[in-house]
Amino acid sequence: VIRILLAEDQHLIRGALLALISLEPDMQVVADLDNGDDVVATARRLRPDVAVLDIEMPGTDGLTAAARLSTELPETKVLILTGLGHPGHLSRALEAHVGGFMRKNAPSEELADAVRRVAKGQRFLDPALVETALRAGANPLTEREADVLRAAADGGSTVDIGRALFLSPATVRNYLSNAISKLDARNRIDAIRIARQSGWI
Amino acid sequence: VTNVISCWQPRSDLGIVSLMSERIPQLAGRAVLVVSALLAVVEVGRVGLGGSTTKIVFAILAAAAFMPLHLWHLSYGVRGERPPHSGPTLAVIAVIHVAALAVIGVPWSFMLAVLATSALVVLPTPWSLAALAACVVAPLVVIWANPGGDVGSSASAAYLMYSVLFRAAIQFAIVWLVAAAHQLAASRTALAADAVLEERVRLQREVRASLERHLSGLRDASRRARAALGTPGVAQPLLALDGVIVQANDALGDLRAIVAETRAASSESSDDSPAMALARSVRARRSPIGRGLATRQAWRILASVHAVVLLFPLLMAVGAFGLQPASHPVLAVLAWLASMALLLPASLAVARGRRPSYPLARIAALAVLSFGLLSSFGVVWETAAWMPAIAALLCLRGSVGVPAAAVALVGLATYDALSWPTEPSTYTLVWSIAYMLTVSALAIAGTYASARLLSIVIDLQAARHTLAAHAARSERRRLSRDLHDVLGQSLTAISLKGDLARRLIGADRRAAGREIGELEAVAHSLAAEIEAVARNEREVAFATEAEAAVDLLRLAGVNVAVDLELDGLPGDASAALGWAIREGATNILRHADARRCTIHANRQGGLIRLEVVNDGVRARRVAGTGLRNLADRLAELDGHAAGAPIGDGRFRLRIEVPA
Repeated sequence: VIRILLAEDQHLIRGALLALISLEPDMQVVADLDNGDDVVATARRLRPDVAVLDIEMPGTDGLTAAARLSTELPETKVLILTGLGHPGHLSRALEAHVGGFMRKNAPSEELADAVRRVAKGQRFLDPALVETALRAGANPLTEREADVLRAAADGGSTVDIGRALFLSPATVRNYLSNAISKLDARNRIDAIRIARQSGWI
Repeated sequence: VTNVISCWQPRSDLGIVSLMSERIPQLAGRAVLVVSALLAVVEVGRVGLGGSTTKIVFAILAAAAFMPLHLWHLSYGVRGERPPHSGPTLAVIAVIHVAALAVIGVPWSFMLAVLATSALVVLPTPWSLAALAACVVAPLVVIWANPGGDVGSSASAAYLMYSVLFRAAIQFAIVWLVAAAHQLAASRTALAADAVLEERVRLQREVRASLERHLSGLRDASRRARAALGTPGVAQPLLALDGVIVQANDALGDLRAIVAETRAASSESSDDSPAMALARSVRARRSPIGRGLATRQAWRILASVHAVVLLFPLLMAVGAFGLQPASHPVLAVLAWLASMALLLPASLAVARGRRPSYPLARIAALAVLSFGLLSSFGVVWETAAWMPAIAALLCLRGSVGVPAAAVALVGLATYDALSWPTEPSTYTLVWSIAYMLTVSALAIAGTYASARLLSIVIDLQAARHTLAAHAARSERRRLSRDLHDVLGQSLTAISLKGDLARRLIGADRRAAGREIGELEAVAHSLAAEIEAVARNEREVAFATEAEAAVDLLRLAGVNVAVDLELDGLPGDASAALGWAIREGATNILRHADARRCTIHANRQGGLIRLEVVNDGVRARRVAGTGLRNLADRLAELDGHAAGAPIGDGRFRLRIEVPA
């Protein structure tokens, strides 16, 4: 029997997940939590085989709990459930060495299958979420914005950049502001950092 | 909910535009006041040239009476505002002028530029132009009424009329451009705030459009599932539940796509859409600046200043004012055309925010064409010296350009002083030097300023749209996340419960029926939620509003320090505080030139307190309707709101709500 810890703050969803998992003959939910704070302590006490964690929960979020589980209780595998499929979450989950990452609304057969695989130490990533993450990971900058950001990375002032790219300083500023805004950066330096790390410039 | 603790953040790059664009208009605004005052002094001095003591005393008293009023008009004008009681004050200036014209006669006609400028600043368009025309024509009447009157150094009626037009046009142009820059800077944050609200409405409409279809399918399917439970066999209910699950998952997919912004138009067109939405917004339609006409009008202003200043040397050279034309008029016209070909491209470049090409060669060539040809063309060519001075300001950095222009100016005044055919009295000499310096400074600085200010107006106009687009984009990101949190949870629950009912149906029909019942209840509350979204009544949580407010303030170049320690707010308190922080941020952007702002919220005992403090309060302000509405709304929750200045130009908004 696969022993499962379930953490999900929405009680309707938690109830449904609990019932669905309990319908599987080879699975047993040993603990169901409505927050992330108690995950590690409960897991340490009950030693479940798989922790099924929601990401957005009050207190400690699912990804933070997963990271702590992977260092403190490596024998407990983690399956992350997500509603939104935020692109950054997948990479954070992979950094936390989670066993699985899937949509909360996946069919129950898929969920059960994923739990079984994760319990065996295999990895299961929801293809739909991977696709979303990849698509969102595509370069949001236009060619011009990337050019201007690249020139800014070389340390040029707005006027220097304009001269190099045959643009007026006002236009350069517009491209820079667009890039800053698209990358959700705080300022020019931050935008350059984000774009560099993502390999877009 | 949120725990945003951050220290003074550096100003965002978007805010820098305003910093760069603030100094020059401020400087120009002050300069126009100074030049205006100097011109009045010079004109009083003109009366001293030949007038009797009575006339001099009268001139001094008249100028002392109307100059404060005129300067008062200008100081409002540079902010784009109309002074209070401007009708009577303008009438006072006009009456003093008429009296002075009657007493002093023709020499006073130059002073009419003061009245014309004041009228241009104070009166609305058709009347202001009529007043300008009246002031320009007035010298004709004065000359006709005083046929033998002493005119001063050189004054045909045409010269007098041109002088009035010249001075009024330049002064008004600078006032207008400074005001445009000021209003653009002030309005762009308000515009960004509007963009946020527009984007919110648009996104809500989008969510509603995509979800309503799914929702009705969802309800049909769940109704079918319930009905099918009464039929024998499992095929019918299973089919209906499959329908429920598919609809819920499709809706979730749509919602996810909206959040990921993949569905909401391509990234290219979403750049324009907020700007287009702004063009449609009510506030934008009200003023020419809002309609994007500022740039076009500013170009017109630039053209008028250039025409009035640069045509003057040409008119002088061809003897247009009844003076002796230049010794070689045709050559003078050619020299003027060559000067235009050198100067105008520099002006256009500066107006477009670029450096003029070949700066030194340009200035040198213009210096040769003006000073170099003086000996051949004679004294009527002297104002051609304005052109190298203007070019020096346009082409060189301020620290080099201003001294260079000053050298040209001093050269011009020296030449003028030395070219008197007969030895003038000391008073006449000193006066004529002062006169030449003042009028030339007005012409040179005014022409340069019109180009430089135009570039700032263009910059600000562009930055405005960028700012609005940025604000709208962040709002979409925030709000779609927020909507997903609420709607996504319900849809997930429906999907899972459908799945569960499907699994239970063979073994435990009653349990399956219970799940379907709960699923229907969730679908029902989801419908209400979507309805609220559609009617724009859904309250946005404090966390989202706080994030939006901070983002907007930082965009506007305000340093924001945030310290919010509010978790698990009750729904109505969260909504009220959300409203409060939005009001607070909007007020700061509309009514203050804030540099710093602190937002602080905490819970003490049974009280939640939110404090927003900002600096840069422009004027003493009585509580506006925004604050009053806020107080009314908070009163419903037994809370209260108070806003008051707390010294040093700071304003504090304090909200208290029982937890």
